[in-house]
Amino acid sequence: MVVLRHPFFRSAVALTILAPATAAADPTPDAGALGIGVIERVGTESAAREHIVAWMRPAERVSFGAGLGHATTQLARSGVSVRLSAAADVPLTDIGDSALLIEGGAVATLGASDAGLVTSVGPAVRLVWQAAAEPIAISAGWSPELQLLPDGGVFDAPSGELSVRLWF
Amino acid sequence: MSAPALAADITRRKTGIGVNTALTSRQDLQGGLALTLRAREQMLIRISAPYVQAARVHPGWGAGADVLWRTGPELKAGDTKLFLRYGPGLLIGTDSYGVESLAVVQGVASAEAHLSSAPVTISMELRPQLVLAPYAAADLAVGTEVSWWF
Repeated sequence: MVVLRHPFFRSAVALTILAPATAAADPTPDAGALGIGVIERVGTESAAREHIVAWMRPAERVSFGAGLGHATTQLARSGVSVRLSAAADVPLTDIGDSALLIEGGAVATLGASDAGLVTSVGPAVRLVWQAAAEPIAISAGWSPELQLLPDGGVFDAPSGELSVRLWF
Repeated sequence: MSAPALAADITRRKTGIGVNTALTSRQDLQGGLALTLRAREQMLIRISAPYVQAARVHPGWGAGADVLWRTGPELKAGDTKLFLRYGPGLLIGTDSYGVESLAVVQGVASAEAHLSSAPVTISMELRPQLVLAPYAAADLAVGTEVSWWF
């Protein structure tokens, strides 16, 4: 009981009680938020895609995106591409007033290339830094994917992603 | 409008200086430094340089000029606002040997975020393009831009 009466211990208890009241507000976007962003996706054998993506957040921690852009897939077939994304995020830690999240989901890109239709599908995992001063999120991620080629073949390729999103 | 509010309103500022880059489906890079002037009301004239690549002619040097109309704010999050910009543009240049001429006409459809903490805009744009020279092709570029406004 001597320990419990020690000033340090009492201070620690007081800080623990006060902590929830003084914690920074969660900077992640609320349910119902709309977003816009750009995603650069680069894979092996010149499989690069870039899309402007409109995002919606129908519920806390869940995001859906639909985008338009271009794709250069295996063997430098290039053309217009549509991207669909679904993701769920979990907070990892706070960095100052900002937040670091981990986000997992799926990505599909539907592309019309020089040589015909090219589609890629795959899971994705991203680290997301959500700024506090502005509604900006920056993410870096990794995504193994399957490219369904015009000749009926399948090409598997790891891809990296870098994105910026703004939430309103 | 008070002086601080006027200063914070990026739509009233005259000049934007920043960086604009766009990548086409053929992995051609376009843009460079960007100077944007507010000609009248919300009509913007943007000059970008020094690189223009087109239709797999590498590397290319040149400049672009776009006329953009700004509308909005369309969306708000606190004092951060989203505007739209759209308009036509032209890119001209040459390859590094001075042999091939490069000419591209394009449309620009852009989402422009005005930050609340600084007179900075972040733009993301789609640019459907017609390559006129060195040969005819259609393309689509995805561009990004960050500008500081004075």
